[in-house]
Amino acid sequence: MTAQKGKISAFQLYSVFFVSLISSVFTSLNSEAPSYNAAAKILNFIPFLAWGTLAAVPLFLTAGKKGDQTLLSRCARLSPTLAKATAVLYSAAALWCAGLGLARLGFFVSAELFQDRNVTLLLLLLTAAAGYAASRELETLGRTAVVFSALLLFSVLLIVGASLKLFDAAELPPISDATPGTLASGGFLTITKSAEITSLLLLAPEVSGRLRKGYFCWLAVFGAVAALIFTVTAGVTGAFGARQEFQFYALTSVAKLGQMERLDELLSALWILCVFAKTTFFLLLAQKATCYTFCKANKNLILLLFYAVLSALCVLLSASESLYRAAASVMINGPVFLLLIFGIPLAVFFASALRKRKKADAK
Amino acid sequence: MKQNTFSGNVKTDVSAFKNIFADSGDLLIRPLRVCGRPAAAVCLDGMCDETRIVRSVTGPLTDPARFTENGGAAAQIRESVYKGVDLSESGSPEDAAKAVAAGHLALLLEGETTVFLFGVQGFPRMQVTEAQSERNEFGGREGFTDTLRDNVALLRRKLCTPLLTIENLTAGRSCPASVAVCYLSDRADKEILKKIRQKITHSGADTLLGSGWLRPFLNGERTGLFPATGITERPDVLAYKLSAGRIAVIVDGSPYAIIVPYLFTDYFHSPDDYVTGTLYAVFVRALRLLCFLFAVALPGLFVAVCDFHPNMLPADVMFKIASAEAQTPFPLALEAVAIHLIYEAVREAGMRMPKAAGHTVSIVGALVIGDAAVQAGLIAAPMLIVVGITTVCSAVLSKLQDKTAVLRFIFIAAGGLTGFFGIFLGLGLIVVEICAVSPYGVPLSAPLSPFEKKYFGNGILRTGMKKLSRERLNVKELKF
Repeated sequence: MTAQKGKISAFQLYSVFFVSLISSVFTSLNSEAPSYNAAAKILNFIPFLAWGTLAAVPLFLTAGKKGDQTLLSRCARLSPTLAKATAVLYSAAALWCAGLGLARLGFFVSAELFQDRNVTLLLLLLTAAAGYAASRELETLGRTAVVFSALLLFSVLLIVGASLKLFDAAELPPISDATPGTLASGGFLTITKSAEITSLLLLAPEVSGRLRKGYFCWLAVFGAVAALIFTVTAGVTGAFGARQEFQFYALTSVAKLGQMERLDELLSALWILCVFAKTTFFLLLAQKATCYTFCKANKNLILLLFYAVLSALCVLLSASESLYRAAASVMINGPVFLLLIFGIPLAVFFASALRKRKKADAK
Repeated sequence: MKQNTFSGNVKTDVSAFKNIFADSGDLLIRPLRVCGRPAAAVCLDGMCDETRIVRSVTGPLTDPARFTENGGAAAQIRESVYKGVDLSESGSPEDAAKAVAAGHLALLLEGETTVFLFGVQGFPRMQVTEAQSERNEFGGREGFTDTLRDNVALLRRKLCTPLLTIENLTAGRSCPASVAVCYLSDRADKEILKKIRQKITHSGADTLLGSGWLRPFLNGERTGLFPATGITERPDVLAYKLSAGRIAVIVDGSPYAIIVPYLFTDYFHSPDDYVTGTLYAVFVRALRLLCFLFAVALPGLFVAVCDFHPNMLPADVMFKIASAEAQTPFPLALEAVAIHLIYEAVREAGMRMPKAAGHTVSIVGALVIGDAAVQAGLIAAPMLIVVGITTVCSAVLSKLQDKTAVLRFIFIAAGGLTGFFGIFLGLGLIVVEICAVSPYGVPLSAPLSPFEKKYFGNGILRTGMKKLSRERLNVKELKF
């Protein structure tokens, strides 16, 4: 499980994914996709696994058999300009995802934790902390994510355990509510929030261990944890939860553990840690993509620049709820995600293969 | 003028010594005649053992029976006269002066361009006493002293094996100090050892007065909150660490040995853990970890809960806290900062003042803070309870006390300004800081992250002593 020098282990990378992505489960908004009902959420792991498996094709085709290729290295072989354009695109996408994650947290904090207060300063504080953590390199984030994952799993089990006495199977939605349409749209919504997996296109050579096997294990574990959270949430909160914007938060506010009257603050803490890890990861990803193509030397300067861009983006997105909702909509993020995970990698892969064949024919 | 070599003229060479020592008052120069040739003995007052000088140096030197007429005086000194004394030679006045400063006696002999250096050190040294900063109930008692040789001997007594290797190095430009790098040759990682040697010899430190002066150079380029090295005052702890593949650096003049590399879990270990039962040892280690978290974050959490998240606690508890706090004029965060500042001042005074006065300060501090402040309505009793718990918890981990003291204030500020948001962000940053340290390739956060099952048994938990004694744990296994 120990990583090689200068690399992180596959376990650490998937821990980063887990920590970063679990926040999208905690923060599942009911108003986000009205058709994505409770039954669809519980069964979401099926389309999630299917989508994830499909996404694995371009990811691992790009990484190559030995896992020593990146999308940028393939692009650079085709054309340096293409590599630069791709790096800019992926860096921008990483910052965009980090900005959305921060804005979502801001939306939650202002709605539930610090009502009627300006939370921009808090978000900037978190961004600064993430910037500092990103300056400590990917290995640090990998190790940190393992600790956070353990903490998260323990806390989720604690919350689930504390809620079980309130669990009522009668509150669970009928399976028939989950039509193929709702399942597909729900699964796609989850996948569009999983921009973390695009990092495999850029980081594969920096990961040691079983990258492919780990990916499928991660999909299964994440799907199972998400299904558990949605099932308990639906079984405990029922119709009340369905009317709440933050459904899992609603569960934690009614759960009680010993002298702790509510567990919602615990969830807030976990959410903050998740967004912290997510922001750090995306900042690092943007930095790595840019440094690989443009300048390898001024890593910290690039990071500082991205920190400034992300802060501005975060201020902009958290300023208005309607703007955030528009920015986070599937209509915008869906096509972007499809382009980043399928479009560009497959196009580059086939272009490389074609070029290789042409060269072979010419010889 | 600076002289680079000895001239062979005793008078000139004695002047060279005087110049180097700037005519220091404790520089003793004794003119002698050896085999009819002018000579001079040079040493520093109080740095040499007078009995040994008389018995082993001046006695034989002034005994004509020891010298034969054939063969030069210098050759005879080298070969036969001083068999019982550590004898070396130096051709450079600077090096010879350094040896004299370290307690050697220099013998200048007319016609010789090298000086003889006799190891007759006899400076005052500290006796072996009980370790003060790492006390225990059942284990060994002795602690390191200020003298390098004694410390190495104490370590040798614990590790009676020829595999224990001591490498003698010197560090410090103008005030050099002897440094011993100790390790078990079959277990220490060669790469780490090489790095340590480089860091010591290329430290560029001007003055080296103890391990604290060398430790920052061993901690790596970018040092954060938690260093990559640890310290111990106990030979038995050091012996155990060496047996697990660690490397020790002992600096002359310091009763603390530096352990490289160090793990964060090491802070929560005590020699007593290996004497008590497994269950109790695991419980105590978990308790120490909890104490660390309390020492760092409890006051901040208290402020955050009271100011921002009161609905977390049962209503009756919250009501009691609120009614007590309503009597005080200051905001909760300010109250917490003030009382912790007073506590830190009392602690500092208790440590620095003479023992008798230290007790008085503690009593006055306790009375002022504990009784008068509450009765005057300046500080609420719940806050005092929180401070009490925090103080006790921070005393549990004395090696982390400096860090917890600073972090506590940061967490109070974070809790007072941003509630749980700041507290958990701060805790996240602490985890990042711990995970970021690995200048020797062994992460400080191991064996938790990266997870290593074999080490986890003794790092976080404590496996049974039978298993632990049979296992050969080596920190090399945690290296990436």
